[in-house]
Amino acid sequence: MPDKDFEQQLRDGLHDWQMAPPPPVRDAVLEAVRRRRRRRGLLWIPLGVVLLGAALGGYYAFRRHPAERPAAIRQVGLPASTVATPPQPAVPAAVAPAEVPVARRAGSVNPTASPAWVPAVRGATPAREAVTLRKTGADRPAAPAASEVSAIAAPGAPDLLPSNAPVALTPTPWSPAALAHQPLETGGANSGGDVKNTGGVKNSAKNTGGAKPAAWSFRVYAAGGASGQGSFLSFGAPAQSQHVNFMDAGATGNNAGVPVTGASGATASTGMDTLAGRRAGFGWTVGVSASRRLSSRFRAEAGLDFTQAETRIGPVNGYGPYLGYTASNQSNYNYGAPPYTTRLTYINSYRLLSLPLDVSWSVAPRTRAQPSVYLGVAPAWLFSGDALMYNPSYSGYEVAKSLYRHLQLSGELGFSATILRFKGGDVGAGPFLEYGFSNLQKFAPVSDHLNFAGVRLDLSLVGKTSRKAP
Amino acid sequence: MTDTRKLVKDCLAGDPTAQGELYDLFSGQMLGVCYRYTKSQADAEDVLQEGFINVFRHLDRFRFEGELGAWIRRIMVNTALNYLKKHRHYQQELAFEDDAMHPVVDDHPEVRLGAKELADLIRQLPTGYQAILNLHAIEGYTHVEIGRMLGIHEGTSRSQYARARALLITWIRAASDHYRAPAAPGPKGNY
Repeated sequence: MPDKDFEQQLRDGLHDWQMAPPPPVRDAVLEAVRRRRRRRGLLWIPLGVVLLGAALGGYYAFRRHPAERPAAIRQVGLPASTVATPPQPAVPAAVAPAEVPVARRAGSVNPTASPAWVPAVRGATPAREAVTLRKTGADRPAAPAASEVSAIAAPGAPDLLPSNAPVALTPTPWSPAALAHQPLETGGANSGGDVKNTGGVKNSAKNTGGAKPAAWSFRVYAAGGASGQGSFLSFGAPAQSQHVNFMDAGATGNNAGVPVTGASGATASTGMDTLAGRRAGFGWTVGVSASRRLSSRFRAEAGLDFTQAETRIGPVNGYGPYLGYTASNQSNYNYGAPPYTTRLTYINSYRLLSLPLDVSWSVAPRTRAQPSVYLGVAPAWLFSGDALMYNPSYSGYEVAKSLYRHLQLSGELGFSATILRFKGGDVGAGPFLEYGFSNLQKFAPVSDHLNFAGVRLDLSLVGKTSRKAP
Repeated sequence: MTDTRKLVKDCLAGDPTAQGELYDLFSGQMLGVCYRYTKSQADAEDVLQEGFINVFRHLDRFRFEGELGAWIRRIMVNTALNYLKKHRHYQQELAFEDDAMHPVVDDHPEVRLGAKELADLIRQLPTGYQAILNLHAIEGYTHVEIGRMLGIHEGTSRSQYARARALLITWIRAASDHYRAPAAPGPKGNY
């Protein structure tokens, strides 16, 4: 009997041979397919929650509420008629301390108008005093004349003044000069701290209207840097012997594949493909976030961002007696058979929609740069791109969206410092590092992580200050 | 006759009836495939389940350029090979060492066994032999392709196949004798 006959007999006997599968397998398969579909729908829930949270946060943070507007805001730059100020005797215009900050002037209350007021004034910090004045309307002395108010808190009066700036006042028994040794100058919450913002409740309160750091802050950010895939915290990997083929989306299992050589140039041995080396590429991110104050130094932040991270894989060789499909950077079933001498580097483009959840710690809140460190996690949906990924069903690499559409978890660590301030916000910048906890690719044996490092620039819009004035 | 295109489209749309129909249409044949690549019924069912999940996951990539059954079969075969690589109890036998000596038989018996008996004999081969024999003799892959699929040299595939084939022929002959004369011992006595 010729050789082929034996194989033919086996093929005839077994190729279409059937067995009856047990019903539980059917149920398990269909249930798995159903679960997968359901999971796909559930992925939108976190996104909806974050957007809803951001919308509600924005609404509450920027809602106008005149009755609750902090005193500091009213004192700085608002019309005099709106400022609650204790009575003062008329001060000659020549010595009216227009350059004196409001907080200090708030201490220069005429004790003679209300003797009971004096101890409270002298023992209290300026801000506390202002609050007391507001809250105890019944005990408050008579409202000052319009001219006095103008002199005290004229709209044009500067609100910032170094703590050692000279104070020129009329030497009356209650004047700031007389109170030079009282808490007004030396004590209170502002002593040794930053008087500039005049809210005076907390030394750390800077540029926030003087109370606490703003309860809510909104941020738009963009980042750029190097992205790479490799082992944890690595941005590349050398070529490895991995016994896998490279294919594009049009490849059909065993008839296609492009053997490759590694970045080191070592050619794959016969009949054995090599996992090409991976190198870093360029990545960028844009996103928005909302943060909420937890304490004077800590904030919690949640956001939504889009990341495009490129990594380079190759060089990949077109080679071999097979119909090799080009591992080119074109999806949609490009069936070009490459010249076998072609060497190309494939650029993987990963696109991620992330929900970063961070906690930031303000390292030095009193400084102008207000440096802070943030740390968090970012669940991300790797939703698009044309990356080469390992497909165990075909024992090879190919471009197939079903292989890389999956959830992954990253960690992020960064540093930010303010580089520019403006009314209502600031611009910060600093380095960051995002590191993939979960595998970039769904299947073993390739266990690459997507890592991304660079510089982040953010524009923060600060919400209104705390309504809970102490 | 089932309209494959409509069936696939319905499956992609998430129609559970269509998915069940697709499964019913091919599961019997695919279990036969999985049975030949594994050592136990339970493993075969595991591969079948995993393979069909892969089929439904990748169904959007079926281009209607060939038969759906052939496409599903290819996925099943690859799923089975990955299953063998993944599970520890198969890994030792997948070493594909060339020093394993087996007699080379040159004669070619006529196969008179039933499909089940034949499949059972193939399953008793060492796992590496079993995979190569299935891939080459039954699925029709070339040794070059098998080498690429299993990560071995083409020559290794060729030599392993020759040994697997010789061993199987010996067993088929013994089994045929066994069926003719029930007292005769078989290779492992359980077929």
